[in-house]
Parts: sequence; structure tokens; C-alpha cells
Amino acid sequence: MKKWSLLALTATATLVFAETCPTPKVEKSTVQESKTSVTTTVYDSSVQPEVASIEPISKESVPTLSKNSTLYFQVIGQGVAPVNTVSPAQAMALAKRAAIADAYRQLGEKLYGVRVEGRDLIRNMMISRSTVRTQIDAIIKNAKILDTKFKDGLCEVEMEVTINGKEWYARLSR
Amino acid sequence: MVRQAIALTLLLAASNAAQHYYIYYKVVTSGQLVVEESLKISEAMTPFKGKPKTLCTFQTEQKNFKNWAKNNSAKLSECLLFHSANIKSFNSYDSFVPQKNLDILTTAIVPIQVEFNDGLVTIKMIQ
Repeated sequence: MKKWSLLALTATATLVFAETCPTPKVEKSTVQESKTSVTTTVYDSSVQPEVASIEPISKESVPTLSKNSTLYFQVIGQGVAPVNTVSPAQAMALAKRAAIADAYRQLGEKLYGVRVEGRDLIRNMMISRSTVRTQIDAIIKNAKILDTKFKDGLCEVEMEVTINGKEWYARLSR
Repeated sequence: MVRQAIALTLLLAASNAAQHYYIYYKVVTSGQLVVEESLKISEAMTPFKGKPKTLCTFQTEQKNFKNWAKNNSAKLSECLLFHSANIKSFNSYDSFVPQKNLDILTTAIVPIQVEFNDGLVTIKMIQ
């Protein structure tokens, strides 16, 4: 009899505790997890990858000098006004001279080309130092200043060199 | 009377006589900034005998070429550079970062003949 009464007590105790301390319900989250797709590509050795074909430059698109043609080389040189000047006029004059020098350098690049010297120092199979030096040496005659602009301490000088075929074709085609 | 006339003509001839100079211009820039600029003018000890070719003409009331050149160095340098200019440029890059940038723009040493007439200065190069 005692056994039955003990069993009944434990049963009622568990029921009471179950109501007072309910087990937490796990709810499904509404936030959707982002799906990441991983694609694996298997390379087939028999299929060659597509390489963009390089079209050769047609001779017609390259400007060439002929007896009856004229070539125009136009550049825009830039110069900066220095800070420590006596007056704004002096700063503008100096900026213009720097712009002229820059324009002549660009003309030299176009007409004579650039000499490039590169040096790479490799230590323990790694490049430790890479140096590139460029040099231009050119003589330019009859370069005209077409336009000069000043804006925010920067001077831009537009220059042009004309090569007339009548005068230069015979000399350059030798 | 004759002596006075001769002296007067000689004086007039001397006042309008051409002046002869050697001229040289140089400008050095680094990083688009002028570092050094020089315009050197030297009077010739003997007059040049070659054929003069007009380079440029400017309006002025001055009679002294050195003073005029000092005040109008920009005009004069542009005139000389138009005739002939030598550009030397040196650039260096260390690990693809620009390190040094130097442009040297010079003219050749040109023998010139300068004439002041009727409010104009005419600069002629001797060939």
C-alpha cells in the first residue's frame, strides 16, 4: 500500500514541476541562411582555352610620311607654379617655363624615342630591387606654342611640330 | 663743314649699327618645377661676318639689348627655343615608384645680331 502511495506522490510532483518549469521550445529561425554555391570545373586537356586574337595593325592606320602629306605632332606640357615666389606673375612665368620644358620632353619622346634601361636584383630567388631608368636626348626645331592655359597653379602649354613631306620625305627616306 | 657732316653721318651710323652677341639659354626642371634658369649674353669681340637671318622682332623703346633681354627673358627664350632646342630628360623608378625626374632644356650658343630701329628690336641669327 505504501508503495502505491509513494508512486502516486512522485507522479503528481513531476506533473506540478512540469507545469511550473516548462521545457524551452526551440523555434525555427525565420532568417534564411545564405547559400554558397561552389562550382568545380574540370579542365579537359583536349579542349584549348579561347585566346583573343590579336589583329595586326594595318599599314593604313599608321600615319606615315609621304611626299604630299604633312605630319602633326601635338603635345600638352604641364608645369606647376612654385610656392616660394616674389609675386604671382613670377610664379606663372616659372610655371609656363616648366610646362614648355615638359612639352619639349614629350615631343622628344615622340620624335626620337626613349632609351630605357632596366635592372633587377634577385636574391634567394626573389626580386629584392627593381630599377628602371629612362633617358631622352633630342633636338627639336620650329616647335610652335599653340595655346597656354593657367588653372589652379597649373600651367598647360599646347605645342606642335609640323613635318612637311615636301621638305622632309627625301631626307628621312635615305 | 665737310668734317662736321662726316662726323654726323658716322655718329648716326654708329647709333643705328647692329650689335653682336652670343646668347645661350638653359632651364632645368624637376617634378614640373623650375629648379634653375639662366640666360647668358656675351658681347662679341669682333662683329660677325656671316649672313643674318631674322629670328624675331619685338616692340620696344629701349636701346640697350642686355637691359631689354633682362626684362623680356620669356619672349627671348621662346624665340631662341623656336629656332633650336635641345631637351635631355632623365627619369628613374625604384620598384615602379618614381624617384628622380630631371629635364634640361637648352639652346645652342647662337651668334646673333641685334638692331634697334623705329621702336622695334630685331634679332637676327648669323648663319
